[in-house]
Amino acid sequence: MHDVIIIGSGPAGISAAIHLRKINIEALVIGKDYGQLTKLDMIDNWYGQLPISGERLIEKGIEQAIHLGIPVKKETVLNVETLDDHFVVTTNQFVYQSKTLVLATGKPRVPLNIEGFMRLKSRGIHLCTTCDGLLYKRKPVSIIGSGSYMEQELKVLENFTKDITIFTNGKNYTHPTYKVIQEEIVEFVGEKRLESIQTTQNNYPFRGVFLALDYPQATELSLKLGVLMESSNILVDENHQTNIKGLFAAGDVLGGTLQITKAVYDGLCVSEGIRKYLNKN
Amino acid sequence: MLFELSKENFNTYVLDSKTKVLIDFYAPWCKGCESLEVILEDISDDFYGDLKVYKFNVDLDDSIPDQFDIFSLPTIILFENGILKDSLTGLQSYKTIKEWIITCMTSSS
Repeated sequence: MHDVIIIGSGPAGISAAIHLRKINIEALVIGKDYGQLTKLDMIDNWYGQLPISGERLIEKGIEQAIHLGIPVKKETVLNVETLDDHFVVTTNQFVYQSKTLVLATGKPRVPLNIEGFMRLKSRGIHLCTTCDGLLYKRKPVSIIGSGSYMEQELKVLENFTKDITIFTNGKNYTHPTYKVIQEEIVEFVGEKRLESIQTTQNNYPFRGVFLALDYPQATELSLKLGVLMESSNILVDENHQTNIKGLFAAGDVLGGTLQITKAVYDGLCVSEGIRKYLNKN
Repeated sequence: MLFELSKENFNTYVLDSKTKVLIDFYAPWCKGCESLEVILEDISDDFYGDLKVYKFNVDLDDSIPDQFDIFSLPTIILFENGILKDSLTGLQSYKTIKEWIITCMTSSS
């Protein structure tokens, strides 16, 4: 059992791990990639640093963490759950457990760009099978995705219904049990609720669809855990703890200024919050 | 703990009620529903006398949730004199829910 697992190896996650290391608390960092910063060719406002690319700065942060003896795993988190008083983190490779968890996943800047998505979100379009799967008990339902995250969500959905269709949205994928539609999706159709899915070639009547594209983002992980959010930003207290005990958050997932400086400061706040939490529990 | 409604007593406590009633449609394993219930307990205390807050387990019956188009969990619905005033979907903060209730109540009086 780890004391701390940090999801995200960007400035917020690595900063939290480094500050925890300095107060003798060991954290495991899990990050799938280098995030938004890789899109920046040049950063010239970071203290003590001559102009540097975003990707190189992230690499340096991870190198610094490893130099301090912090384990940094390059894995994709597929699921997070609470079990009694601890957390269970499932990645594409292993299952880990920890007393505390930090969400520092960053935030994608562009929402899903399919016509009808924003209008019908939560009205037949769902982001979390554990939350809403029940509403489709023994009913036909569809799921969008083609990777291990989709397969993870599919397992949950199977508890409620076996009438499942997989949309890959243009990707190549086959499944031994369920019907797979590989056509690209152009629109979610419906007035008050989802009525059908329009692809480049056909219209498929569906009143429910679960999104499980690529990998779960902070919003999806938060939904699974029951974390309070406002306008897609995670709400935290003065210790950077969420409404779930032992669950902390840092960086862009909190909203506000999306800057490295702020993310690094969040990391410091989280380390302090975790120190207090572990001392008490 | 919020009082648990069932299919059998839903009409008595909600549709035939002469007061304002807030129903929390939830499922037992839905973590967002768990978090929301904590907030609704505070709401229930703060609106004591003006609003009754109950919960309804959608896993035990789907006819009532279907009747009110429950698309997503958790969903809360505000009724006044048995008539649906408005609904709010997803886990929301105390502040958001409180403001939403006040708006619903103001628009009705």
